[in-house]
Amino acid sequence: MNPYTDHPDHADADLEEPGLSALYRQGATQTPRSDLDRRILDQAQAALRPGPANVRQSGPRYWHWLWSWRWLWSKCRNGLPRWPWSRSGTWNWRQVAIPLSSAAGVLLAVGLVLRVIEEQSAVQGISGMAPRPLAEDRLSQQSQPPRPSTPIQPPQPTQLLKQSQSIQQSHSISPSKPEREVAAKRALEEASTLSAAARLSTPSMAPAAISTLAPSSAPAPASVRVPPAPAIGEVAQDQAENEPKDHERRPAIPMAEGAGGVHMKSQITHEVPQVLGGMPQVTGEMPQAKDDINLVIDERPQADPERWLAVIRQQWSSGQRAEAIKQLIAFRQVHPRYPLPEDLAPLMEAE
Amino acid sequence: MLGYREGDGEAFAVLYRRHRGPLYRYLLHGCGNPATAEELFQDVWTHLIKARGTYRVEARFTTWLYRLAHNRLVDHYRSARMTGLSDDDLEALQDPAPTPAQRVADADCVQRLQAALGRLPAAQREAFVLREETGLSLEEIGACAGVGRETIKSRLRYALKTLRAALEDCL
Repeated sequence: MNPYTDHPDHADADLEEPGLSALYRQGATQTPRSDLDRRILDQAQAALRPGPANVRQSGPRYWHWLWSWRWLWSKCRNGLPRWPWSRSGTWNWRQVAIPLSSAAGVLLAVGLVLRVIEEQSAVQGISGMAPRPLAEDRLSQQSQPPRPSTPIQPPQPTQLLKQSQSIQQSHSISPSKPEREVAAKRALEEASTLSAAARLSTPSMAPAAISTLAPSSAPAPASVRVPPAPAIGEVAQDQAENEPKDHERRPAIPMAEGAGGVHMKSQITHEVPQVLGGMPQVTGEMPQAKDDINLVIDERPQADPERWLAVIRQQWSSGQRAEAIKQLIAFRQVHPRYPLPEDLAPLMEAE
Repeated sequence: MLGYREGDGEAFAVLYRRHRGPLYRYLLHGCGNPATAEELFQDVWTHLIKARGTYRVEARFTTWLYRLAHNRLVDHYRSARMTGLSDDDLEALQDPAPTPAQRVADADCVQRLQAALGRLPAAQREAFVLREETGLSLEEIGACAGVGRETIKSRLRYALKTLRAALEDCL
């Protein structure tokens, strides 16, 4: 029977030899050297102390990556390793994992930074394209009283007519002919400039913007130059007679063609009465605005009183008396306050 | 070993004191050279220290320890063969013929037993030494050597027969 186990292995009689066992135990005195014992015991105690190699051996390798960084640091302190091969010349993927992961992280960070910079530049580009407030707007805002908090409604045509008539009545002294022409041209330029600016900034809100620039309640300052425009209602009526098609296209809004003999196409024509009604004079120059405004100088004789009168004279002299009288009647309706020349007095009497 | 795996250094000291002599003698009888035996001895213990985290209680610790030692001896034999030693050289190294000086020295029975053990084949010597040093059963000795119980029993029987013949006057 085996003294250490319960197996009956030694039951075989031929395997039992007490004499040999005794002789062997007598001679079994060889032991390792004491320094080897101390070395092995120290190695066993050192293995129990915390360290990278011990963690890898004893427990799960959750912090393996951290020890790999320590390994890299130790290699850097002692000189660069023979990357990516170990000293034995064999491939070690762990030596490649750290540089590769570092490179991947750097690439990721650089790509992210570049992407952010690109998006920021794109946003700045879009914001840089936004229209800046015009100098005229700023000037008009400074000169205007505080705006009411109520939403501003676009002016109705009847209101515009009343404004223009009130302004016309306030200027009882009618200027002379050259002054009226110069004033009309200047008013036209101002109107076109401001209208273009308003359309560039807020195209859909152009009428409202113009109305805020020139509120109807604000009195016209002394520096305002109001051209001696005829009654807009008469202009509209005449326009309806002369251009029925054009009137159909713009039925609800009166025209302001007669101000300076200038006819403006598109929506700028809707804004001109407001500008002429209450807009203070803006001294700022915007030459580029003229390029944006589709201005067409009306070449019809009705647009210019002098030319219209010249046409009437020509008709009268050519024998078309009835036609000349008809044109003169129309002229008087369009320009009721325009002084007629004395050579047309017979026609006026016939009228 | 379980205590050492949990961090008890004193448990390892107890294990070492218990197995240091038998393991060293097993390796010494296996390689025949004290320096090589010390080297193998340190290798076995170093491997045990490193493998403490993966130690599983599947057999007796002695069986596991001598299995490590047996594998290390096999590796040593293979490396010796790769260095140019032929099988005949290895056989001569493991079973050297007694010289006249050795015959005189073998006057003592103990020394004669040591000499006779040196002349035994490595497998038979391993079986005898494991049996005498560890007291393991035939199955456990077979587990250490990587063979079956009957094989160990046969090797042990041949070894005892040879030793009895060599030390007939001492027994």
